[in-house]
Amino acid sequence: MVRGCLIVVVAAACGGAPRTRTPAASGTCAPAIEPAVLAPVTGNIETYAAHRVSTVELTGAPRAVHAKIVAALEVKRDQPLDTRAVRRDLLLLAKLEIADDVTIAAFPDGERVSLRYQLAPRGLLERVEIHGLEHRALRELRGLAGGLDSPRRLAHVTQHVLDQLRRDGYLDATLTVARVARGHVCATGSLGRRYTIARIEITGGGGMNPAELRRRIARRFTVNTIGGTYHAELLTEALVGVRDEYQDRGYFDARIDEPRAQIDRAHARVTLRIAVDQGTRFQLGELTWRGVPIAERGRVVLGLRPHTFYGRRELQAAFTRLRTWAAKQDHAIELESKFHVPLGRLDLVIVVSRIESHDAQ
Amino acid sequence: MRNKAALLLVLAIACGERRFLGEPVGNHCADYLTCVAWARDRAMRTAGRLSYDDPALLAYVQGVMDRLVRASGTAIRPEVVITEVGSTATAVIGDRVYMDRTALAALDSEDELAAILAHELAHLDADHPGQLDVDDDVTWRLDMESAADERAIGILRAADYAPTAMLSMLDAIGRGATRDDDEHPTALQRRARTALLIGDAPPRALRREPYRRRLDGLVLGEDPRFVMHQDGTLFSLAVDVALELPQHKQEEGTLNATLVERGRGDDLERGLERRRVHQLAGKRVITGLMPEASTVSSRELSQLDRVFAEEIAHATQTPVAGAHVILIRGRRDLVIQLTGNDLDGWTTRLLREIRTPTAAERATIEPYRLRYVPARIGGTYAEVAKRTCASYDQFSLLDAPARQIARGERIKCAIKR
Repeated sequence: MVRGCLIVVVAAACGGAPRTRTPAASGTCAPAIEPAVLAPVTGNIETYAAHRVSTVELTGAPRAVHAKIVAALEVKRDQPLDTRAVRRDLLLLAKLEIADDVTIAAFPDGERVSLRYQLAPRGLLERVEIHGLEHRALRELRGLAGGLDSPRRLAHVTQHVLDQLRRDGYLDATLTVARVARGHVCATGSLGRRYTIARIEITGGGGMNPAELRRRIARRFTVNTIGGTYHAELLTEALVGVRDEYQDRGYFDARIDEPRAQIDRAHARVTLRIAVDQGTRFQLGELTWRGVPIAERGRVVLGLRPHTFYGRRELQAAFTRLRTWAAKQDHAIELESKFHVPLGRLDLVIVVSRIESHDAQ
Repeated sequence: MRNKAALLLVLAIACGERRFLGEPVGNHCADYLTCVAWARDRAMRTAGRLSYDDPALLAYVQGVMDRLVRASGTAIRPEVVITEVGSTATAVIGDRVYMDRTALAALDSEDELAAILAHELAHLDADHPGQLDVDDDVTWRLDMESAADERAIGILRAADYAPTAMLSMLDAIGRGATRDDDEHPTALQRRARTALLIGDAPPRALRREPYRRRLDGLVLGEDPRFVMHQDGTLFSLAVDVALELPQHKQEEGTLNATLVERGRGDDLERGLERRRVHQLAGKRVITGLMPEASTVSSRELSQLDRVFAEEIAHATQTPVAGAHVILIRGRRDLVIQLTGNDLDGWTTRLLREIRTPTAAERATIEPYRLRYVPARIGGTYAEVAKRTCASYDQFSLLDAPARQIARGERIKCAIKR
């Protein structure tokens, strides 16, 4: 009951309507996400350059790791002060992300200088509230509760969640995170409509039937398939696989242009257009052996027959087999290939040489 | 036979019943993230990443996880699987937590075990694993690891475990590492963030005794009972077979033997071409040819990302296309993969050699096991273990080498029998 009341109060404070990432003008929510406050302050450190360091102190670090952090600092006792090393130490401390601010103070100590690195310990992100939208991806944002209150991490995760929503077809999704109080953030937004793929138009590419091609493009049953959602990176990745498949079928110069996605916002539909240029299917033409004569067994190990169609993987496997065998006979294999595009023929020249042993003289 | 299979597949598609690795897709793939998590979990279940066979230990670890779940208030109910030696200490897939037995051996208290499990529970609750395979954003990955570390401390507190166990767990898991890995924040960052959240409260004693009782006898290192090659004979005590390896010229091919779970064996058996069933040495033995990439199984995998498919292929120990396969069925299955030339002849020769191992052979194939043994001297763990455990060099990461041990204190040793 109490929890319900609290949610009502916060929802009212944040406003129910979806917002952009710009901070609310009304002032009811604090600015969305503050910039990181990790700019190291070097203060008057330059004036002590080359003075010997008498002590190095660290304040604000948890006791359990205090010694380990001090040991990791570059600036050491009894060494001349190197201001560049101080900056690197400040960066190291900032990257620990346990402080909202990292500073250094220098004090004269006779002819020497005493240094004190100061950390302003970071607080806990105790509450993450979400209003206006519900989706599995938001669990990631909720999962930040109970961790350190890092503005940078919060901003990054917010963007990541938004990316996930768009990958799931919510191309118009919005999500804004505002700080309600110290250790308490409030997220608002909307999913909008889910865009689905209405058509996939494939032109060219007769070496693979369109149904098989569509199956290879589809990912996880729901993405880049008719009725599913559009995911540009996965489509590009899948098409690289499709091009490889053409090459494995002997279409060595197959090419697939960057796919085009036409987004119909009025009907929340996507049409994908994919143009495949499969090129020529190559047949193995002449197979010529040159160099050191090789035992007949080498030809058997290679196992390729002229005037036969071979895929890229079959050719690679055959030559790997031959090279492995030849190496044991102290022979090296080099390969020269010549594509006759109009004829669809691939001639191969296998050059065999003896591996000279270099025994100690 | 292939035509019949193809017809069945066509019918299945026509009826709208999509399947992945033998199971109907159903509502699992209504949305992208749910589908990722389901497909991954399904793949790993089918893959049958070899699980460690100790029901009592599993029940104990699951009990710790259940306690964390209750305390955290999460809606998920993760199932723990203790796995054989793998490439990672722990892994999370779907609502499952895979816990490598090597990681268990490195820990020394129930609180540290709870710390690992709480970290994985935090990952699951925030749904990180469903997204891991689609995201190359390194900063995001590191942030998720930090978020899981930090959230775990709250879960430990709520479940009445010592939060400081998070630090000792990090020490134990990172033991022996010469550099930070790329998957997590640096060791110093993890420790600093964890320590800040733990605060300066006095440390509580860790629950060591119940953990040590459960861990006593844990198999360490590779288990030779799975697959072992010794003096020209291949042994798999897990399947209860021995196989004299006939001479075969190396250039003519390679032999690869792997133990897989039964589910994976079923999957492989279904997919083989030119399949023949034999009864040899009291075992059901199947021979066949691993099909080319146009099979039903490969099509199923191609529904997923290429990277993901490769991961599954690796985890499932899928033999390469065109390989001859000898599958020896048992409580688990031995998969022998032959590649190269004259594979029919080689297969025939190997089948003739399948037999049951002798009692004497069985007696020689024993794994190392974790035992808690009283220290013969006092000193650092490294000094004491060298004197107390014969196998120290091989298992030097069981404890911190510089930790001071009193004479008579029980220490971790790797011992056969």
